[in-house]
Amino acid sequence: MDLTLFLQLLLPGLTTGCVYALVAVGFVICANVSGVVNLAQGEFVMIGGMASSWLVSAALPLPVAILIAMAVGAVLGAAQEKLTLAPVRRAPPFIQVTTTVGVAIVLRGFALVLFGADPLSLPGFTGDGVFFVEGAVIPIQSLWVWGMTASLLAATFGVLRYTDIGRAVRACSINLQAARLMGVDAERLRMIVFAVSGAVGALAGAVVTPIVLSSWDAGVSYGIKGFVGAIIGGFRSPMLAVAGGIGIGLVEAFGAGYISSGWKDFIVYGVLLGYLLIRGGVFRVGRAAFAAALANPMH
Amino acid sequence: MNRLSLFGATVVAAFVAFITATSGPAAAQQEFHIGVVASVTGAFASPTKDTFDGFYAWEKTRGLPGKKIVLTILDDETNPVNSANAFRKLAGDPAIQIIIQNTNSSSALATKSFASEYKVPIITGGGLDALGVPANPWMFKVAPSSTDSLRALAVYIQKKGYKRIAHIYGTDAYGQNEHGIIDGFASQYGYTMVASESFAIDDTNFTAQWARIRAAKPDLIYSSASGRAAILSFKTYKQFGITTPFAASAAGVGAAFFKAIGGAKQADGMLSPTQRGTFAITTGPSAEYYAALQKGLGHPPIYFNVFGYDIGLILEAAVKNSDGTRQGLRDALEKLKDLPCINGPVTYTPQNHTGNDFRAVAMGVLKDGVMVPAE
Repeated sequence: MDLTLFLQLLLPGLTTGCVYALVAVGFVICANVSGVVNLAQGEFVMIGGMASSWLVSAALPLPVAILIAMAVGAVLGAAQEKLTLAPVRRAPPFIQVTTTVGVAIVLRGFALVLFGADPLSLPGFTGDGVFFVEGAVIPIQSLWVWGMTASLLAATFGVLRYTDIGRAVRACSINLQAARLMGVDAERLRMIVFAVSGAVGALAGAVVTPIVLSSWDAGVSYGIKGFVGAIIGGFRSPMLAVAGGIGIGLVEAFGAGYISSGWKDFIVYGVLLGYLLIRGGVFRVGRAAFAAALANPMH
Repeated sequence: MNRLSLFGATVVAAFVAFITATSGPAAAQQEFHIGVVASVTGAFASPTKDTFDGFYAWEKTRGLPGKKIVLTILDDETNPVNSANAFRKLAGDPAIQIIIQNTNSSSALATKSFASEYKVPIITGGGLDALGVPANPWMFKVAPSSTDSLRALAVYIQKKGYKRIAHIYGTDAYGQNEHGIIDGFASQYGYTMVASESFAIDDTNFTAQWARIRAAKPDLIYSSASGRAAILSFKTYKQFGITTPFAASAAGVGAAFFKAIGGAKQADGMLSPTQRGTFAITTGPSAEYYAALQKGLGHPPIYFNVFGYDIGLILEAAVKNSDGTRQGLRDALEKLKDLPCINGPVTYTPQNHTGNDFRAVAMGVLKDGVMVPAE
């Protein structure tokens, strides 16, 4: 196997997979505390990228721009929960999910009007250079993406495991009613989780923009791939969602590199379909039916 | 009613009748209504803006003498379905005299099959060959066909003696069409396709494609990317440190592209099969128009600016040679023969509505941030 080609596919695939992983974790945690699949999750990545690029172009220092972008993500996340999800809490699930689609469309429109239609770029945090790993070319900014993802995931798991808020989130994911009876303020918790999820998405957008640019319609792609990662995580396990998100990034890269770039999406969604069929027990059911048919050929 | 009142009423009535009979229809004649389906947002927004800038420069420097141009612009969000719907809406408005499609090829193509239903003349953007041939009686193309553009590239490849060619292209109609053409020219112009890499237009990671291209060791790489994909693809090419000559479709080289890569000089050495109007023209009938466009823009024109200005020139000729009705404008368009435009002469025949031809295309190379004819 050509090691250079392998690394050339692996490391950039890991970079995009990191962003999918953060979006996937956002999907899972928001779903756990609210019971709603938040299809606007990818838009926070877009908002973070667009806002930070725009602020830097307006001569703000990069760290300040990123902090403001995160604050915007947090406010929008909290506003989404308070203004759009809380009022339809008792509505059927499909109404709540449709509401999140509406929020996604509104955020895209908001970004288009405010930031314009052209893709925006950010300079690399420590320059736009590259480094080499066994001949594979990797942008230095990738180190920021990996480091930020590792830090955020460590913080997320630390909070979930060792803090009262984290325990409350986990309790809600196991049994919302029981958690309430134990004194968990679910409304407040939802606000906090959506705000943090918005801020983390915005940070991910700011960090990845020097590599992939940002445009008002970029959130759709992140949302779909993060959603796939969350499905692989069964919408319950953040750890599995991370694995799912990174896995999607790697499957994309290896599929395009080793098989064909034209087959990339076919491979990603084929893998998802296969995973869902296997998890759903289709093959097991099929085998049982086949065995039954063999046992009773006259039926 | 006394005699004075009757006289007064008669004068007022006569005045009203005069105003109604003269200024009403006259005002209507003064206005020329153009419907524009435009990709104001989405992946093709940047070229669309450049085209509008060129069109507005034409309007500012020439326009339609004695007529006020009224534009009704609908955004298709670079989406063929939206484009078809926007076209139907504009075409269904009897006030609209002609429609301009300031969109990419896919969106323009989405309307071709039913363009005749509404009997409204269309001046369409997009380089796709199928927009001009076979000719739809009502649809008139401005850009030279992809075949003509890629023939210029193939001739260049042959002259340079390049044998191994790589192509990276989008999976949309434009990219697929370009790939079919460049692949089809291979035996005729003596080269082999050693890498053919595709991407979805919303992709953000191009490293797999470029890793495969690098491994194929081509003599020249051609990119049919546009919008964000063109920027990311070019950045990856630079990051990989590839020194193989790089040629890009002119559809991907606009103001947003240069801004995102840090200025046009960053792309020095990049080749492009482009229209002659992209170069600074100082002689011939196009020189006057080129100077006017530059004056109207306030800066040297880039590729899609020229398109916008040429759309204006074609429109101007059609209006001048017609009665202003939809049928009259269509007939006038089809009779245009070697109309001088910036990119080159425009000719339409009942069988071919491409407009520009091979004479309008040449290989360019970026030198000090300016596109000049390639050797």
